[in-house]
Amino acid sequence: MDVTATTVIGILIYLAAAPVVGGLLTGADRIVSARMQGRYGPPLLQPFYDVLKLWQKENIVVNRQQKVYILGFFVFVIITGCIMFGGGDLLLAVFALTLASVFLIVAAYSTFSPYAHIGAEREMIQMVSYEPMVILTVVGMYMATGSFSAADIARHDGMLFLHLPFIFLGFLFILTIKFRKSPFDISMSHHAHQEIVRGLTTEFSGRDLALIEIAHWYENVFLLGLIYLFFAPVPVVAVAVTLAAYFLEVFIDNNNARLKWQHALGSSWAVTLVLGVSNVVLLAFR
Amino acid sequence: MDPQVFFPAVKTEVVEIAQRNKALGYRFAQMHCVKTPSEMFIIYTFEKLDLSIEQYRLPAETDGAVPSVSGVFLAAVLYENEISELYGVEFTGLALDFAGTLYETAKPRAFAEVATPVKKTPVKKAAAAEKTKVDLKKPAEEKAPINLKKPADGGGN
Amino acid sequence: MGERTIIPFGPQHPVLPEPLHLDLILEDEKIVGAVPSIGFIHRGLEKLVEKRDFQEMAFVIERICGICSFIHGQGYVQTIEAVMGVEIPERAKYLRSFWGELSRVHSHLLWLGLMADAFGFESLFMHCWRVREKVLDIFEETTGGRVIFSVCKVGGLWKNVDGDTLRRIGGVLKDVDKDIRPLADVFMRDYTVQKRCVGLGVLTKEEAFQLGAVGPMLRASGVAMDARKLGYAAYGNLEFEPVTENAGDCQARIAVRVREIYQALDIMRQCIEKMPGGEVATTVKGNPQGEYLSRLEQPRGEAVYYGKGNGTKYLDRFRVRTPTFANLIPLLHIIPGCDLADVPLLALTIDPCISCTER
Repeated sequence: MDVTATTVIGILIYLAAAPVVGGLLTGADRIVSARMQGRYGPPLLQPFYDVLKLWQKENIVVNRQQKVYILGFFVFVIITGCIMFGGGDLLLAVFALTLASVFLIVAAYSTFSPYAHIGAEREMIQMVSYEPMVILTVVGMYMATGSFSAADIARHDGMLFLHLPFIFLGFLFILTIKFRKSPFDISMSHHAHQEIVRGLTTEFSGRDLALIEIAHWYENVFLLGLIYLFFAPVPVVAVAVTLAAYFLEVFIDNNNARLKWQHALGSSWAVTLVLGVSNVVLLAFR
Repeated sequence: MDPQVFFPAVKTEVVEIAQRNKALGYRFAQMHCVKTPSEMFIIYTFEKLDLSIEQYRLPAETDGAVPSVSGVFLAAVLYENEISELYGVEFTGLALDFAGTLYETAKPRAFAEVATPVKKTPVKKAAAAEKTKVDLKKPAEEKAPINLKKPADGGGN
Repeated sequence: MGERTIIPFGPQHPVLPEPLHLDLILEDEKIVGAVPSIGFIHRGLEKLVEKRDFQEMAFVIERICGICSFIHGQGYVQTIEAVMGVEIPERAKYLRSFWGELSRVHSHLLWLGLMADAFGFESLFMHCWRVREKVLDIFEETTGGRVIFSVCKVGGLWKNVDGDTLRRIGGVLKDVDKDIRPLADVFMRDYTVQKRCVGLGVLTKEEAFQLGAVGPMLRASGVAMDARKLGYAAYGNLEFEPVTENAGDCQARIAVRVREIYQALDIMRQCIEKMPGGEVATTVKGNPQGEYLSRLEQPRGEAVYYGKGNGTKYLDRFRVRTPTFANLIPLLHIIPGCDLADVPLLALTIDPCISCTER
């Protein structure tokens, strides 16, 4: 990847703005959810207050290794975003995100809690559920534009959505898993507790948990950035669709119970096969 | 309402009664122990689909052994464990024995001792007021200020 | 053959309303056994008969549980009234049935919310409890309390409710009925709810009867036993039939409880229509002598109350057999064979009221 001025500017903007945008979106998510539930909801800046509070908490974990893994998760999520917003190779970005998720899983395994272990198992099953669709998304973009580079894809004239409508829908489907919302919040629910207490993050507290929360903001911005790429030529429409997709996820979360991992795996693969593969096949014969 | 008839029973026929009732279509509803200063007995209640019940009264003693009906009715197992833990009656042949860990009260056989009722002694009004009066002229006691500093070894980041 | 792990479930668990401990023996994510452990809130309330006279004991028995509070109080005073041969006025009987059914509505709404929370549907949980607030407001207006009412006494009731208030409450209950309909719709027909609950924790008719299940747990398996049919309080004059379903799974139990809410609202409407005038209490002289066993229908099932008096103002014994105590054995029967993700649903499907169980 050539390091040009735009690359550096893109990376810097991402580093600085993504947590702010991610946090504000999370805050808006909580207010909208609360209103849908007939409650009043917290202030918009609540996620920032939460992270600041977590940062000040004493670290009382039993095993110190998990800090290393969580730091790995945090660093690689940022690298993922930097690759994409610096205009780099999207396939590399997707695999960097996979590596970040693996770090999180290993962090959960390194604790001694049965809840975290089961959360980690479920997280691995989740990864198997959504990875094919994410990869197909990037492959579809390559087939439509001829390049894996995010910069080229963003500058491609002609809206990608017109070439990749099914892949867009499939990506929206697995976005529910990535955002950890019902019906697919099986390893670590965003809002709620569940039978494995807090799932993956049961044993994390203090600064580690704050890092995970901030990393999720970076990750959300990356995922929304992928949606933006579908509509890149018309920025206004792209931003509108991105926000609409985010709030669609909030809406789906509030209208569904949590399904079991068998359903998540089965339905994601069905969607991937039907929507993803058919779109790729159509592009191949164009 | 329910007729209050309690058929007398003895230990040796308890299991037989249970089997007979099961064949007649009764199920096990509940059992409990009553201990007064003068007597102690266990009451069994069997219930039928049409809500009619049949009850039996079995004399018992603390540390006495009673055959368990949990072989006939598994549902009896929790009740018998509770009675053995709170009253000290031993049930032989329990299908599931908690061995005294069902409630784990601080005092074993807590219900086996029947206390005499507490008599409230009338407190003279003036004496009570004297005890609780606050002297506003004395200055309040100096309390040590609370130390908010974290301990030296607190595993902070 | 996977390796076996043991996962502790409870007593502190976000999904459980009350402390219950289960050691779940898992093979991968399938449960092969469960070892229960209770006793975290055993207060030995039954032993307080030795220290509280029989009128004060009503307040103690009410505080066995916060959700089933009213019917515990009613069961106690009803038993002692039967021991002493006291006949209470008709209006008191109708008011007791009225408050008893209102308790049933609030308890089932609470349970529906907790069930929704257990399968991850937080917004449904919030809405159920929002509707429940209206019911709690009615309690506060008529009895002065939202959770513990202290309105039953041996000989009748401490408080009366006048006709105008009752009519207005009838209107509020119609609103509650309307508010519940969309929620009931989701519980009975939503796709994700069905996916979680249908076919889960099946209890056949014979198993339910033999293992001692009571209440909705029993009726959802097709056994039509409802202690209200004994005709205590005003139930002898009210028209209702036990609500049953046949499937015996979690979805059937949800359906039974939803339909029981509608049935309770209907019974309350009948109470308001047929409410006789007059006093709500008679004077009670003397002390209880003798023994009596009565049965009432709590929201969770049949509760058995046994009282024995010896002629003094302190009872010899008062015994409460709560419905959850009877439902624990069926719970242990349905847990093996399900997934770990189903354990909260199964623990909640018996409507556990552990503070009742342990007293």
